[in-house]
Amino acid sequence: MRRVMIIDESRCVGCEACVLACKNENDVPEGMYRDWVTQEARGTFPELSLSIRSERCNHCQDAPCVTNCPTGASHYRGDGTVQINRALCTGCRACIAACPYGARFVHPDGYVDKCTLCVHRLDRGQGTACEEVCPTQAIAVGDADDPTSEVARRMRRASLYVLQPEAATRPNVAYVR
Amino acid sequence: MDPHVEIESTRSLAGALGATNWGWEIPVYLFLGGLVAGLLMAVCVVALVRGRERVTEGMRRGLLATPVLLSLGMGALFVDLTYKLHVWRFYTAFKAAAPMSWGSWILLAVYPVMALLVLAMPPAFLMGAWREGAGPLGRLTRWSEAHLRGLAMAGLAGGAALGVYTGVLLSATGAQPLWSSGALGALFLASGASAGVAALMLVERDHDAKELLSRADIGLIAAELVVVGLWLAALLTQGPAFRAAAGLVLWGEYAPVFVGFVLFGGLLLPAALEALALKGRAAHSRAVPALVLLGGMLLRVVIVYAGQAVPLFPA
Repeated sequence: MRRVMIIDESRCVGCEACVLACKNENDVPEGMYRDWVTQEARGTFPELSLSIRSERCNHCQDAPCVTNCPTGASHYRGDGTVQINRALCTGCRACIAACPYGARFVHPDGYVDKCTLCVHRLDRGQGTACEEVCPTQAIAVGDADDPTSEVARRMRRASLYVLQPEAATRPNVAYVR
Repeated sequence: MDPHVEIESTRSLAGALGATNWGWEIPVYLFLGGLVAGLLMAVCVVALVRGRERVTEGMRRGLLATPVLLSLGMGALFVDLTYKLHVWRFYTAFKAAAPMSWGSWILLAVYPVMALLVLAMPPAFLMGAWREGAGPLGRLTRWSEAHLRGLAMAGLAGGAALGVYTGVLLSATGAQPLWSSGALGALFLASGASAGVAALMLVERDHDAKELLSRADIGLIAAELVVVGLWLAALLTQGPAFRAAAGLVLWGEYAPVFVGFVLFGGLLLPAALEALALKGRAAHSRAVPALVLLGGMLLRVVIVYAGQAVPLFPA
């Protein structure tokens, strides 16, 4: 199984419900976010385009945070996600220095925190908090190895792309336009 | 970045963008680690090449300072940790791909080497009857003296590993253009070696030893200048993010410190003054090694802070 998140950028309206749902579900401290919404405006008037993306940890298959973590706290879970074992984290922040996406932050309790892809929910057969709250179904999470899944269908689209492909991290979070 | 692209992100509300991840503790640690590496290598080279009897009182005092300085550096690292209670977790794992992991083990491994070297070559004020005693310390001292050559080789290897590691620690992160260079390991090794020799010059009283250290320091400064040149040339000939990072230290916000206090004040000026002193046109002054040490510290401050100011992958 390889859990992936495919976000349909053309459906996103930037309501930030995903951000709030994540904060509620995961008790993310005030002023900190595991996911966020980026608006990217391109071009010159009148030829302008606007893309809106819900962003988070990319759960990379070649994750620099995992490589640089000295204690094994940042690790691959084996289901396509990258997780942090709080019991092993020293708060050295090598992972933050290594992450090309700026997806990590220091939790007030001292350990480094980030999106878990709500694996506690996925393991129970539920969707991620951001996926379930999304009013336009822009966010889809599923098994990339299942060809009948919604994520597999989206992954076949030509407009599929990942953030910072030059970082060569092979993200499991991807976007379609 | 393309001037026709505007990016707004709710993440910036959290101050996550542009925030400094590693603060003053990291350059302090990198400097002290490099300094200890340099002291260790310098004393071990003298012991191996010239023999124990040519290791002067000043060098012995420098050797005695190594565990103290390294402990101060590790103290700075400890202060930097945000989850301090878990510091021992560094020693429940070994990850070959993570420089911070093998660095932690290197730090642990050099302590006994430094301690045994001090036992074999103590400064005069530590000489005493205890060295001849039948107790464990006396036996350890005699063992260290008998195995000085092996210990010096271990000290040389440990010092080199420590010096290189301080640079690789940054370059391995890979997300900052200023740090994304294999030259950083060589740069920090050369700078650490130069700082170690400079520290010995500060406490050395023997004229011949001063001359020897002075010659060595000029060579190390020359090597450091070559590596700095390669590092900056590589940055300037790569993509925009790399050029922006190089610009930050060459003509941007950090240029006064880097060009003024590191390149000129910490490398070129002391090398020139040391060369004049060797030719007898100036006296050996303690201000010269002090400049080298200040330059070495500021080099790490600039690299750590400027490195975090320009991300390789703008979010």
